Amino acid sequence: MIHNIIGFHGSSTDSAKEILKSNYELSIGDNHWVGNGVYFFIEGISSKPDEQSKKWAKTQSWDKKTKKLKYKYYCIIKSEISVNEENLLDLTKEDGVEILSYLFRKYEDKINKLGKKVEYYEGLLINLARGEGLLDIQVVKGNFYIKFAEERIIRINLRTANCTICTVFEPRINITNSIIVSTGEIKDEVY
Amino acid sequence: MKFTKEIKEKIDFFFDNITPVELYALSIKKYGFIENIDINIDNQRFSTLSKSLYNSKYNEEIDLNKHTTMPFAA
Repeated sequence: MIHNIIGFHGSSTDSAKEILKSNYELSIGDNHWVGNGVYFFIEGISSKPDEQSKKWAKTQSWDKKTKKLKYKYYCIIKSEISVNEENLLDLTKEDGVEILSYLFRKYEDKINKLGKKVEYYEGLLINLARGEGLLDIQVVKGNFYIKFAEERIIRINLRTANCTICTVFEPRINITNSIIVSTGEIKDEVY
Repeated sequence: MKFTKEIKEKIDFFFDNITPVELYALSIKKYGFIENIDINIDNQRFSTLSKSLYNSKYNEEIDLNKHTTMPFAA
């Protein structure tokens, strides 16, 4: 079974041009959410992932250190993601959560024998599972609570997930098409 | 991805064939895990306590005019 997912990726317009040229190869980053890869907002908890990617692009434009915008124009890219069922770790489903939980328990049992403790993140465990060939994962999806500009400004800290996101580890395999769907100027009053 | 017997066995095989030391090194060096070095002191207590007190009345001075108070020297 093949899953076709529509994902929205928000960035600066300059980055968007590079992303389209390289089919996201230059946009692969590391993250503790669900592992290394290119991140997308997708439909799930929210029916407006395009709006969320726009809010994310605006949030990311703000440089906390310099108190200035890093870029003034945002760009939203819509991408088609295609992945086989056996290569999709779906953390919004029971099977996906059970796999991650089992992985975590096995990892912890082993590390505890050393008398050491490490900080656990889903993303790091997923990277290890992929990198060492335990799981043949190409795409991960999950529900997360993500702070956008508004939540950061008025310091909202909730645990309830507000977004469904997915990460694609190898864009050249799973991203079949990408187009720019909107661009705009980031207004200072957002902050 | 379903949590199949094959996936469980693959995970088991990996963890059965790696030592805790190897896994720890791999985690930190290759995958960026961070060691948690917080010291847990909850529920710890001392059953005995040793204390040393200084009392000024034992503060003996050496009187250089009295031979009896002179320390012996080799």
